[in-house]
Amino acid sequence: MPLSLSRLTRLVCLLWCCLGLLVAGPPVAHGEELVLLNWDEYMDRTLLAEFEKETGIHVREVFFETEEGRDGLLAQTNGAGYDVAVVQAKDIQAYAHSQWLAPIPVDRIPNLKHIPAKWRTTYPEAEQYGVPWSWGTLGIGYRRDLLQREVTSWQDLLRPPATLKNRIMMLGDAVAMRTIAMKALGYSMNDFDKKVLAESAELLKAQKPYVHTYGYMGLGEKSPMITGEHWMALMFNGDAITLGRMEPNIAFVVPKEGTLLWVDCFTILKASKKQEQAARLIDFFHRPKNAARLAEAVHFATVNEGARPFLSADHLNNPIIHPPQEVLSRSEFPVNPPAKVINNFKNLQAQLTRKE
Amino acid sequence: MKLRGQLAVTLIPTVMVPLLVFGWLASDYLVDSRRQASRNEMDTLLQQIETNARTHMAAIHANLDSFARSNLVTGYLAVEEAATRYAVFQSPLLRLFADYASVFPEYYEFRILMADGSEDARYATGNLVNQTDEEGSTPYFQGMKDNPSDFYTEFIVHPDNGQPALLASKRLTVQTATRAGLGKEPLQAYLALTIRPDFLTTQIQPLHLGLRGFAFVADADGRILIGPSWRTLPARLATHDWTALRALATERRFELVTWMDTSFLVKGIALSNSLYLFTVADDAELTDGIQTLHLEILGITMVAFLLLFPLLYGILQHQFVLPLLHLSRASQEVGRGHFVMAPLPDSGRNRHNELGSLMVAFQRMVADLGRLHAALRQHAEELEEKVAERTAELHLKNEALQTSLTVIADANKKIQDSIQYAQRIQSSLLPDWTPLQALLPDSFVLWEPRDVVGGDIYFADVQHDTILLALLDCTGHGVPGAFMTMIAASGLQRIVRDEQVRQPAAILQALNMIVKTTLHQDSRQARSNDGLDAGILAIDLRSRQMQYAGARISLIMVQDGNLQTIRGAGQSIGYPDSPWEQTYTVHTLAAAAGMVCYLTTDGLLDQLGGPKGLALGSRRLHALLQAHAALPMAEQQERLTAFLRAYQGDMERMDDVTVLGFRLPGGAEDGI
Repeated sequence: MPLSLSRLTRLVCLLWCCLGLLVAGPPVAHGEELVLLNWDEYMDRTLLAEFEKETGIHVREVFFETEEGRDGLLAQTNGAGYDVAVVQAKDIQAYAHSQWLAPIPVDRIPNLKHIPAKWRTTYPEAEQYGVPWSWGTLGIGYRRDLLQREVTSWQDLLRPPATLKNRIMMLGDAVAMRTIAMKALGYSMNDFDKKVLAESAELLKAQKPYVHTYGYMGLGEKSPMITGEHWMALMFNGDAITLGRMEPNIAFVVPKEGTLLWVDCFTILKASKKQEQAARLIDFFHRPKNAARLAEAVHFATVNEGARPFLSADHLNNPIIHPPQEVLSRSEFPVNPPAKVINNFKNLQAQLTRKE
Repeated sequence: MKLRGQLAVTLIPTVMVPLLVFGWLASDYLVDSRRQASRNEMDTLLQQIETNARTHMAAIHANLDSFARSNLVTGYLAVEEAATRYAVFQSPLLRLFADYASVFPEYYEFRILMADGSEDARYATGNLVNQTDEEGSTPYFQGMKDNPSDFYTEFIVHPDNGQPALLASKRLTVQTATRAGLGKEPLQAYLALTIRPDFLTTQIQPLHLGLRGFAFVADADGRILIGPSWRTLPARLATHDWTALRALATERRFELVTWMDTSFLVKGIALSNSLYLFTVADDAELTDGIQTLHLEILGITMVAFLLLFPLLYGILQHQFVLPLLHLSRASQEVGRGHFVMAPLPDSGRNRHNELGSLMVAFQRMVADLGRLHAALRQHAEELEEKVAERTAELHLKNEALQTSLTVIADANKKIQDSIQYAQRIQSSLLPDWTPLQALLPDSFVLWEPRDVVGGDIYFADVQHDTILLALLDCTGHGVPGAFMTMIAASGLQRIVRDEQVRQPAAILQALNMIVKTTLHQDSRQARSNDGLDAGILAIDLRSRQMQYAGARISLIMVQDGNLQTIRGAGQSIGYPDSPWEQTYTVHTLAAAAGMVCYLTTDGLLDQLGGPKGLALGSRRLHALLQAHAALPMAEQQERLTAFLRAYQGDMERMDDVTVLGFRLPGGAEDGI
């Protein structure tokens, strides 16, 4: 049967449409992609867009909620599947020894010059395998309106009043929880005496009935700190500012006993086939202007000295982001403990986070 | 016994015995079924639990294998540096274990044990306190280490919580490039799971076999790991109990065992070489159940009897007894002469069976009997009339006969009187034996006429020392014979006494002539054919000699036990055919002292008798006389008379009998 004209026209149109769809796909399908393993809400996405615009490399973020979550993701693939990962400096050595990290190609990241050496050498092998970019503290975030009292000590978090039952959120990180418990008891967080370990473990176990969640509270509008489900949380300083912008009743304090200091680094995964592009992204983040934008976006202090001119006064003068010296003097970078102690930390964490 | 009573007595065993037999068989069958059902239930439960256990064990193996192959486990072990392993891998590993635990809630402890037995990673749900993290010396670790297979399972009582637990482990062998480069052997470790054996406890703990039966699981040492939740069992079986139970579990058989002072039916199976499963039924409960069953069946049997007996009794009474009673009453009525039978109220039902036929036949029979009875009555009346007539006739004839009889009796009396008188005359003819007894003191005379008078007669005459003895047997007997004796006796007296003839042969010859003359037998017109036999013996005691002549009568002598016979002549005296001058031989004999002599008429010898009805005969008489010759003659007479009576028995006397017997006395010295 001969085709009629109208039917032939429709067929031609359909073929053109199919061709158009094939040609007009997303640009990333053609360009390169970098996979960034990162905390959620810990990035200025405009920067990523600019990087893509500049280099044609799309950056896809994969999020983790806790340090252990990240460990699990990497362990499942033995480090494959990701190009860049945000890792605390204290964990770099273990990651490196797990054969997951590639050495940093220093020559490909010229903006390293803006980073003072003290930030790069906080931990063994951190300089070789990581590029620091932000640092911060741990403190207690709380709903001033709901709690109706001031918080000054870790004891307020770890030995809370009965009204706080099931109202507390704890960061699920083994080291974070354990070290602040040590500080609450007046010990150094690097004192691995059996007595200190036992007392701190008991303190955390005793707190468990008050804890609603061991994990990460999230920084969106549905965060339990915003909704009022959680009244008090162990949190990073920058996160407190992010949440505080949405709910002014959220206060943050670094307890008087002092706190844990941390440095986050960019690392390049050894299994990555795009280590050069990864180095290019890290260098992009450390352009002083970009570093300032990133710090402002996540409300954490940057290690990039070159960024200071681009930082706002609010940012620079915010004591939560840049704690005063007397706070810093009471605080410590946790050293990597002996294997047995790590085992002890992890086991306690497993016990605490176990669902009953 | 009444028919109803008999029916009841017959029905009770007829209904009861089959019911009891049926009940007994049913009971036997049900008891067997019940016992078998109990065993089947135990078997089924064992199989269910076993299948369930084996399925779960297979699932546990599969899960263990799957866990061991996960990247986190292999990655964990691939990191040799403990700090790194713990820092990076332990949390994800424990998280993985936690995830497993949430999927498999009964898996409550996950451990990575290194080759030396140290616990490298441990995740436990609940508040399970770890007693030790060095497991190197525990029996479980040793068992796991020594096990040739990579998989190892063992049931234990968990030291951390005292609960039964299944320990399942897999040996992990990991080689890393680093280790290989250093020339090290592959790393060996164990992934160990501690599992709450819910698949057993959920089945076993609430399980009830009957009311008191249960199931339990014991380990190889007889420790009871899982038992019923609703009763307490000892923590460990006594050694002898456990030996017995383990043996029956190995052989998968039932056995009745006494345990905890109770008799249990037990069957067991070995789930593995360290785990034994048993189902236990309380035997007493089973027995109680069986007794209850027996009572129930007995009750059912009794109820069935109580229902069936009245029913059958009613049916049989209606169908058979009532008709029979009706027949019985009808029979009694017939017996009383009422030949009208009332119909059975509902005989219509039985009309077509044998009883109905009987009723109809009986009714017809009653009607027939009625008719017959009427006919008989009429016939009887006719007969009575005829009998009356005949009786009258007979009466008349009887009277006539009675008259005749009287005449005959009178005539007979006269005859008898005549004969009695004749007998007196005949007796008077007989000699007086007394003078003879003076000479022959040992002697006897036996004279027995057949009738009142007879044809036999004897004669004796004594002159000085001579004795003449004669024995005459005339023709016939009774009155004719008596007449002949009269002729013979008168003739003899004339010869001997008138004519003084004393020689026996001469006497016989003279007597012959007298008889022939008297009876006119010497003429051709002789009417008498009569005569006589005779034997005549003359004894001269002085000369000690005897002379004998006989006409058909013999002289019998016995001396010193020897019997001798002097035969008479063959010719009788008289009779028409004898010669007129008939002569007779005389025999002269010595009259020895003590010799015994006998003369007898043929009436004795011809008497019929004995067992064959034969004549007595000479042989028997001679034997008798010879045997008794030594006895006194009076006693010999008695014996002879008794012998004759006995021999004759019920036979009729044939003829007149006369016997003379004497013993010859001694010589001069005796005074003769």
